[in-house]
Amino acid sequence: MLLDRDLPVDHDASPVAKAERQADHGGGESVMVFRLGPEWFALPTLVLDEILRLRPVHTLPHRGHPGLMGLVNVRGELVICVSIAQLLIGPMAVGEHGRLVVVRHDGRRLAFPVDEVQHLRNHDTRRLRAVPATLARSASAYTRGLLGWQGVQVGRLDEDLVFAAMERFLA
Amino acid sequence: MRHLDPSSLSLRDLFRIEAEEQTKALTDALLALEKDPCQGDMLECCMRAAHSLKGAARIVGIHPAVTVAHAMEDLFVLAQGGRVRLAPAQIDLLLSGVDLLSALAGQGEGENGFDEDIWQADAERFAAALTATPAAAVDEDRVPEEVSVAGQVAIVPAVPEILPETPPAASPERLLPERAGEGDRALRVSAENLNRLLDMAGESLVETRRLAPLEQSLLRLKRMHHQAAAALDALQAALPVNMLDERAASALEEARRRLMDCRRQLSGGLDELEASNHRTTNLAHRLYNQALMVRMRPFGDGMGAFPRMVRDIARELGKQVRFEILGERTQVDRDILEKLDAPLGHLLRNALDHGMETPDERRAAGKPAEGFVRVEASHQAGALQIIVSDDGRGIDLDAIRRTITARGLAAQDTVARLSEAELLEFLFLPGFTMKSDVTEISGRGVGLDIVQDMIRQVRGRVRIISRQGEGTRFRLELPLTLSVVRALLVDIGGEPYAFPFAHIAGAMKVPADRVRTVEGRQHILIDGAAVGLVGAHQVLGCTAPDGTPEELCVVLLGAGDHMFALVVDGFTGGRELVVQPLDPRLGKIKDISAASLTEDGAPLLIIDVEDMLRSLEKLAATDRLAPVGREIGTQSGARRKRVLVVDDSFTVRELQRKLLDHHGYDVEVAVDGMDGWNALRQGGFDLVVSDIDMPRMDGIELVRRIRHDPVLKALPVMILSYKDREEDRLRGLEVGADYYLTKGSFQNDALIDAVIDLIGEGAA
Repeated sequence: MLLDRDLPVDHDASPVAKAERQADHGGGESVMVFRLGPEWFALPTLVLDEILRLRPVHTLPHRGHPGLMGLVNVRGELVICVSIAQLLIGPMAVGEHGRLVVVRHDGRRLAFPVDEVQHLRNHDTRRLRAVPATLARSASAYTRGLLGWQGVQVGRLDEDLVFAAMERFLA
Repeated sequence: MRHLDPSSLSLRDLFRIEAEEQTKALTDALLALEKDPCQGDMLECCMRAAHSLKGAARIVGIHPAVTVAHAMEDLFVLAQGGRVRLAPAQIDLLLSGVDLLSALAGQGEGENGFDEDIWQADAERFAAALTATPAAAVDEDRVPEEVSVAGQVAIVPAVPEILPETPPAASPERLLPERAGEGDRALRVSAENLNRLLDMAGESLVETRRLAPLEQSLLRLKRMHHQAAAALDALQAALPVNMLDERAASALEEARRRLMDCRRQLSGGLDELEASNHRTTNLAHRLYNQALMVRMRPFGDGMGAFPRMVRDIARELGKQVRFEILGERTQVDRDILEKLDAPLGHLLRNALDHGMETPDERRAAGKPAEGFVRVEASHQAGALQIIVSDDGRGIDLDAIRRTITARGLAAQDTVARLSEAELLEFLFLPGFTMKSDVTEISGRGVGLDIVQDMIRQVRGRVRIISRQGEGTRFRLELPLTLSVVRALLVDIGGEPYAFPFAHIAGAMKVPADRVRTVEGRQHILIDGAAVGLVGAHQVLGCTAPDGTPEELCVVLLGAGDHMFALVVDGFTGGRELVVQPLDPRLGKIKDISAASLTEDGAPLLIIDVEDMLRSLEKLAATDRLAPVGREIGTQSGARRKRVLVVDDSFTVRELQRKLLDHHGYDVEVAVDGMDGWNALRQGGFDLVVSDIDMPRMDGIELVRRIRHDPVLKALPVMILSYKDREEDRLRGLEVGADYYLTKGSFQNDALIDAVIDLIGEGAA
């Protein structure tokens, strides 16, 4: 439950810095695993900026896209909040004990709520299993493969595709 | 974005920064020398700047710059020695050398097109010219004994080096100060870092507020301790004295003593917490205010280019002008300072070209041959005031009257009745010019409207005061900063929003029974005038609260006939907000200008009042105002096809609306391309009918955007324009319109036929 706490701002202790250090040791890849309802997904720790408690999101008028939730305060800075659930499994609300994940990709930030976050170190990228063709879910389009973790199937997401799709919510 | 970590800068970047500083110093000093060529300190300053530039150029290997700086330095050394006096012609030449150095510094590293040979040739031409001119200059100055050597001055080999050869740009510390010495040292900081600092200072302010609840809960704990002690006392009192043996008595005493320890400990901790809370809150406030101050820069910092510009223009026009900048130390928000550059430049060009007379004209009018142009900055009543004034001929009101009549902007008798202020307002109309011949300097008929536009963008305003024969003054009133705005916080649909005080006409609570309904429209009386009531939910498209309140909270927007009373759910107070621009990925959000945070750190949105007024006008014009306090009627039955009509003419919009409505289509209107684009992005339209010529965004651009939008690209688009030339038609179709009709099509069924052709029949 390490990542279920607010993270320190201290830069060296940030998961990004850690992941970068770990990447040097070769072999595996460090991912953050998060839960949306019953489903688990993974994104590389490299895109992770912060994990925070859920907080008020201000909706944006005239923007009706269900994936665009609004603006959220991240350390005094207003960050766009989107629903990654909308993208991956459809409309759902995150439980009150969920977490807000702030990610950064190409220098641009986005925040999204999830039910739970865990940190998984050095999972072996070679053990990634193909997504079964029978899995006709919207998430499959953004999933690189499945990894087994504590007896559950975790969809390893393609960060480029996920970000591009979430940014399309904004316009 | 400019990164200013010195280690990441290339040598070339270092030279560019150095050149920026030194060329400014050179320009300032040269302009001073032009007035008085014998100022030793200015010569010294020029010599040192040229010398530094030479050293820096040598280090980074820009040889043409070395040549230029070297030639300049030599001349300054001679002038310092009194062997040459700098004449205006030489100052001109030296200034052109400064330009050359700036241009050289601006050339990117390894950039295509940097041909060192060409630059070197330019540099040598400059050096040769500089060596050639002193003869003439000295002639003028009547120092005969120097004439003989003047021709060779530039090649005198033994010019003593006054400064040791230090590499000026090599050490990173030298890079940071923008200007050394005098007063405050200015640093270069990227805007991004600055904004982050401001955000974090704001956040620390929010964080300190979390200590207060903790203090409250500890105070409660203190009270509970007190009650526990009282309970213990009561227990002792309740026990019969004879039942208290020694063991029981000491146990009771022990309990009481321990409780006392707890109380003392808590008390001490509480005091400490209180003091520390007080200190951190105080500190956070100061940090926050200081962070805001960092955004401010002295007014003079933004004026750097003007003395040179004024001088060059005055010379070109053959006018004698003294240029003054007053209030250089006035603190101005850096964003405003940046945005002032273009409008001030424009006003100065106008003053020189239109306002200032030639020396002969001035003498004939009994004025000194030399006129003045002045820029003055000061803080007045919490606002920044900038005055651009001249003592030229002033504005000829009769000429304005004639121009207005000649251009058919108003009837002659109306023009005769216009007041001076009203006449001067015409100068801000787009394309309004009084100058018959278009000059290089100004007078293209664009200008003051742009000035006004730019000033409005930074939430300011412009006024003209003119006295014929005595001069003209432009007074600019601007907010002190763009990053802080005083605003009224309100609640709309359970979320906080803010209206900048400067943009609202008022706010009040109105008993619900004072709402009148006339012809299905709700209004309230304010100062005897009926003001239409609109629910903020309807404008912003959010859910209205349940129930009907007994009192309506109303924000008044607009003025005169165009005033609206916007009903919000509640007022939460007035506050200074630190403005955070919206993430550019969101684009422009209709009715919203920026965002900020409430006192407890929740996000809030700042209303774009001008934009909202447009939305309100539109709602009112289309009879779509829903009654306040009741549910907005939902459409029933089969969905009608929706058409968006985009046209800046009210008449055309209404004609189309009636025509299409009559044929069973649902019609929304937009007043220009931008408005139309915003409406389209909310989705749900089956067809767009757009005009071409419109303010803000024209029809061609609108169609282009539609065709490039992944969602909207297949939307049928029809252009309806007065332009009936074949090339206009082709332009419309090329950019992707499905139909191009001229406005004559109203008379026959062409418009409706085309609509049916594109999206089928409307509902019966």
